[in-house]
Amino acid sequence: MTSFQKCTLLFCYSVLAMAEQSINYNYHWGRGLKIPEANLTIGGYAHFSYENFERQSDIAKIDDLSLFITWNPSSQLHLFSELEFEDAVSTEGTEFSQKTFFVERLYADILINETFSLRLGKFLTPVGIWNTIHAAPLVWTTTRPLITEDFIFPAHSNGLMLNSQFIINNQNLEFSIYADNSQHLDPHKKDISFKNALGLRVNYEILDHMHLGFSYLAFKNQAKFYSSSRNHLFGIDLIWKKKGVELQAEFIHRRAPKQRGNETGLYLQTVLPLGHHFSAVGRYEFLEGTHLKDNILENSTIHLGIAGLAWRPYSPMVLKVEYRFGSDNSSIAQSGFFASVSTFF
Amino acid sequence: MRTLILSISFALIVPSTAIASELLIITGKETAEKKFNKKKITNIFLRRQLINQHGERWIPVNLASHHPLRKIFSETLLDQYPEELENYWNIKYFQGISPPYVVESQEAMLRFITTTPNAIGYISSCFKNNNVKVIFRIALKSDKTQKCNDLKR
Repeated sequence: MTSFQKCTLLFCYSVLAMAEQSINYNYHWGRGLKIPEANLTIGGYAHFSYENFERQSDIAKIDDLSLFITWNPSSQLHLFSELEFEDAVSTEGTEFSQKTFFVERLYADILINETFSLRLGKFLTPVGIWNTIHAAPLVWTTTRPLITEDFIFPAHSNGLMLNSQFIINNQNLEFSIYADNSQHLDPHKKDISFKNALGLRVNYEILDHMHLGFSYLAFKNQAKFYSSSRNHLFGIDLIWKKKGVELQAEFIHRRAPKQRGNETGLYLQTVLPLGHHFSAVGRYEFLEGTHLKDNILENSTIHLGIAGLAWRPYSPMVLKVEYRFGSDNSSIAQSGFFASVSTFF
Repeated sequence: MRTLILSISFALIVPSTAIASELLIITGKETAEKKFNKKKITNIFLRRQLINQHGERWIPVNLASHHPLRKIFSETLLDQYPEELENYWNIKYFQGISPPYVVESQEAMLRFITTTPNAIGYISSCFKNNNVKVIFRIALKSDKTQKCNDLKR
């Protein structure tokens, strides 16, 4: 057992030991099991999906089974972990092992004052909108936009992040700067992960329902292809939400030396409420550059369209169906039909 | 006897015609923080701001989802419908942050605020009393005003 896993188990044991001392608890679907005396919440989410790619056999699977543990031992300390089984059960077989078990997030937030907080541990890389809220019950499609996939930038960072929040012109401005050293801090990292990285994230509330974000990331990747070169990623994103209508867009450009691995892409997504908790979802995606996926290098220009329907009969639960189509997309984002059910618990 | 009947009639009639023209954001008397504006209060209720300037945790309190004042509060202060807020709280749950405590009535709100340090809640102007501190007032538009009697206690 690695020291990282021991640390995770120690954290779980500590919070459970605290919980044992208390008897009052309450459970609310989608908000988890709360033990107020211990300032502890246990919850998570489950995600089941069905994929039917063109020119491939279909597959049904439990994509994610995630467990959240939140513990607030004091007013200025917030501990959070997310442990996850990913693709452990599918129509192709069952595997509960280190290959399918991940410590998705494990961090401590130290609330320094009203304005500043410090995050230490493993957290989601704050690039754009999608990556930090990627959980299936929160997003409108079963498939993930290409520019948020981990072959563009690793989804997790290990290190520290300073967060700050200001009110300027009566609107919120959030600013984060973070440093990663996954090479030494995460022994159980995924194949595509940072070697080290330095990043910046700015999120400004332009209007009450509209946010504009900027991301910058300088990183070296663990993957052999990238190991000798430092990548620079620039991103801009925008989201507007009002009365069930949602417009969301992200753009990224990732630059690597010698034109190896340069990528430019974007997505534009619209959500329109149809009534009775149904929403129509449409997304256009564009990606141009040298993509490394499943150890295969490919240079292409991809256009994708996604048309779908989401039904949210209860707030924590969403059922989705969608069809993906495109041009020059067969190697990394095949056309096909996707359906899923996901719920927080 | 006539006086008694008149008094009872007056007591019954006056509250039913009294109007809740303001939404009052309240804290306990001991709350030291003095500077509040709409954005800061919104951030506390949406749990974007978790602690005060003394490093103590804010404890925002909401009325039950079926309470008519909750809808007025969501639309007036937070500028969001309760359903939109459900999605917002789903995101916060994924980030390990729980929504505010919930109490059933404005009387329970007053009790909670007066007995819990750093609690922050809201009541209609009908329920104002001297045991809490009003830190912000929002005048309700004519379409949002209600008779005090129509707002459950």
